[in-house]
Amino acid sequence: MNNRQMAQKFLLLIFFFMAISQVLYTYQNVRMFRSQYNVLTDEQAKELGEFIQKQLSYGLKYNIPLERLGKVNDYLNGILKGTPDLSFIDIIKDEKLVFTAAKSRDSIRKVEVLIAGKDDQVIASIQLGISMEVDRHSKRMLFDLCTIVLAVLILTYELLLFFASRFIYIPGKEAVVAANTQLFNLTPLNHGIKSFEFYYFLSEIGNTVEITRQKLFWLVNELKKLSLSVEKGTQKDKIIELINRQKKRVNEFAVEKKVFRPIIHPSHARPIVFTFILAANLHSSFLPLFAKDLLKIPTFLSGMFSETILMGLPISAYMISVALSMIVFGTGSFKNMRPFTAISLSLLLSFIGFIFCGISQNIIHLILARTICASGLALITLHCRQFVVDHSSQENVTFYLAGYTTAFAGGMFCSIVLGGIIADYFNYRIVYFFSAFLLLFVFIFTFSVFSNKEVTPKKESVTKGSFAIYFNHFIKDRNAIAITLHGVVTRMIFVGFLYYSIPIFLKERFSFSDIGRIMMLYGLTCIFLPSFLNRNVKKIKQSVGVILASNNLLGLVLVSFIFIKFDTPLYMAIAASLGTIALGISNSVTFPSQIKILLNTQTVKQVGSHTPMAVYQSLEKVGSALGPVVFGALASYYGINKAIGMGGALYLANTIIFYILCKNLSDDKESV
Amino acid sequence: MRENLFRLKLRTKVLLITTVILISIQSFNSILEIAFLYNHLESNSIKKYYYVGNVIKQKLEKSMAFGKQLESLNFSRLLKDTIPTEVENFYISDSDENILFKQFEEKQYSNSFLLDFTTTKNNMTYQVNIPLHNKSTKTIGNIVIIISNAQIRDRLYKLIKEAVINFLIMIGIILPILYIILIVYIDRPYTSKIKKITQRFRNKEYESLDLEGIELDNLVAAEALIEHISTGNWLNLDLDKNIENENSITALIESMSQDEKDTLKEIIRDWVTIKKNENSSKNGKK
Repeated sequence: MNNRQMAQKFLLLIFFFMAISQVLYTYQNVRMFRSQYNVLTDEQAKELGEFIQKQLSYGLKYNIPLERLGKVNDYLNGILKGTPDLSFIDIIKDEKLVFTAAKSRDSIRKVEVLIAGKDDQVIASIQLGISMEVDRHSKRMLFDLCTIVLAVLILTYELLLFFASRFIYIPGKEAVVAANTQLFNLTPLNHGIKSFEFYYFLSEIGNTVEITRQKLFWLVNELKKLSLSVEKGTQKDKIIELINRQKKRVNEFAVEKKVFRPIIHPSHARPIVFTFILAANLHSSFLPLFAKDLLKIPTFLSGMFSETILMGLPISAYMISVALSMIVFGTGSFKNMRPFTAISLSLLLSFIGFIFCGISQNIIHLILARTICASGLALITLHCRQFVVDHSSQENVTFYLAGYTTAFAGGMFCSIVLGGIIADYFNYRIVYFFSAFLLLFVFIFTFSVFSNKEVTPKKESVTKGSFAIYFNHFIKDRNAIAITLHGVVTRMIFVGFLYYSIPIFLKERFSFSDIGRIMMLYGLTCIFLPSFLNRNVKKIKQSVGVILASNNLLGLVLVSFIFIKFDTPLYMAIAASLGTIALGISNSVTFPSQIKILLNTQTVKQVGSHTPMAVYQSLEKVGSALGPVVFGALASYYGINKAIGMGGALYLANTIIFYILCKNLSDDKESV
Repeated sequence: MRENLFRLKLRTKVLLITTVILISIQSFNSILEIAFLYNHLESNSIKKYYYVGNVIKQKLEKSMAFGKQLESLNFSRLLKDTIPTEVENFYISDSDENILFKQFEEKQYSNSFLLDFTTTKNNMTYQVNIPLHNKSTKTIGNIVIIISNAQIRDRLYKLIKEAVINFLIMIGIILPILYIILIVYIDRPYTSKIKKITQRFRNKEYESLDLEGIELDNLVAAEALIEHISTGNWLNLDLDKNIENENSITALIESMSQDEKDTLKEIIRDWVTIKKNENSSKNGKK
């Protein structure tokens, strides 16, 4: 039964139609609004022309010839300066240019206003040139709309993937597994399979195996009777032995040896991660601005730190809280919690955190609220990643972790796009309330996936012993230390390059919107490539290989920033784009492979995977926090180009150390 | 049969999922796009007041260029025929929000005058703020233009209405087409395939079912064993050595004495007769 093909067909058909309909709808909207935009622009130009005409008419009223009116050019220049939509204003009389003010002679169209003399006869005209900037603004609007459509399509894909898997692929597969269990155990029990289409098939099997089972019982009875009849006669031990052996053969068929288990697919964590990250990061485009607004209410912190530092405190507090929460939830009494309980708790904490953010009145409230949100994030990411690891095979774990990375990146991408629009249309606080509302959908997905009692921490993952025991194993495990160090440096370079260095590198020549568009390339790479690149990474040696290849690529791209002269904005844009794409490719393969390698270390085999993964993820956050600090320090001494290059060199060194320490890693036959 | 009622057909599931996703995602997209475009158009609609406000700003700042104070300017003369007639009100204030000039005395306005280039809005009006600077670029006052949003909103709401109607038309067209395609390409092939598999199972075409992932080895082995025992073959002294697990039984029979073998022959004869009769009666009943 090719359920997978059918689920894929379902997904592709609906996605295709959704994409077509969204593109057509967007095109229709753009056409409609663009024409209105042009009408408004022309009307405003005309009104401005009439305003100028009114001002000029004071002089004309006194019979002063138009050409003799004083300081008209200065006046027109003053107006043009405050009107970015106009490229020039000309006053033309008898086809001669009398007065003019111009930023540029390029225009997409002209608007004309007539000047009437004292006797209401037309004596001249004012021509206002609509600047190319209006067209460029339209195109930027179209580009931003395309980004919205892309974000919505990514959201659509994640939802369709979940529904196709949960309601088509898995039920079909479970029905086949149930059928095979019935056939193997020779029982009519269909294990509560809810597939309508398979109902008759399973009933047919049930009837057949029931008949077979009855025949087997009948045979056993007949053999018993035969055995008794032989016993009544002369002692015939061997004959009785013969009969008993047949009975045993028959009885073996009647024993249920196979246990049916509902299928729990690791990709079912994706919509939970995607929607949660979407909700958790809707504010990321304006958090510092919101913090700045809150600083208007003085607190005890106001005198202690500068405004710039205070604006960054909610972000710093959040990152520190995430790191600490991961350690607490991964090692304390929370470590062996059932996933459903843990994720529900995280949603509750996040909900409280978002509401608190929305109603916060000063910076202290916001910092506390963000700290609560951080604990929610820590818990959910720990358990979702653990879920993927627990329900993947050794071969497939990299592939499914790549899916987790895609969902994470997708949530981040969509949150930045959508959060800005919601904040623009409503206000900052509404965004937090909307984030809290989105958690309801996360809970629906969580209930659908995790409420199943079969979803419990895998026995091998459950942490054995205390944190001290884990630490004792860790410090003796060269591979575990190597991969942890590699993970910290990877995150440091990632955050330091993407979120710190790129904006500084580009800010002299590019606007914030353009910088954001270039940075988006990272998100797009991490959304589209991970599953494709990790599809064939099944063995440890392959994981080590892809880490080496991708890290070297990224390292060399970053190092090249030292040597290349960036004379023009085009070269800068190309360099930044290539850097972000290389970063995206590298992270797409590195993040899943790092976890795979971690799971194969002796530490994990000794103490289970839960605590090591929690500590690893916590240290990753430390690496993320160090990124801007390290790059900032390098940039202050050597400039941003060299700082990027030195970051690349550090990355290459990190890769070499990783290779030296981990080159003998291979798949263990006793998998975790 | 009752159990069927609690199971959703694939067709129902597919159509339900499609409807929910299409409507919710398209609505979400529609809301985002309309909000995005509305914001752009709204700010564009207000732009002209910024242009006019800037012209007034330049005029006033020019008048103060030679040391005159803002409070001492003759606003009525300077701003004659300059203030757009459609505005709700027009104010000039100093940096302490004291109103120095008001276009319409009878109208009150209580919001604060922000000393930034910014626009704020409430339910009824937009407020455009343009700061006034002296020669040393210090902010000394504010131009505040209050515009009723009724006209702007009416214009924009017409566009929104058209966008919503387009959305409903699109859903109305896409949904039925998608339903038909999903039924033809997903539901029917899947349902027919399962029916074929069920029929093949009934017809005991076990080899073809193996290709579909249905594992019938155990059932086949059980049926073979039932056949083997119920037809008395297991009692046959000339044993078929290909049958599984027969080696130990072969050894057992070969170790029997002649008396035991004779008794076994009698049992075989009786068993085979009885079982043959029983099997034929069972087959007859089928």
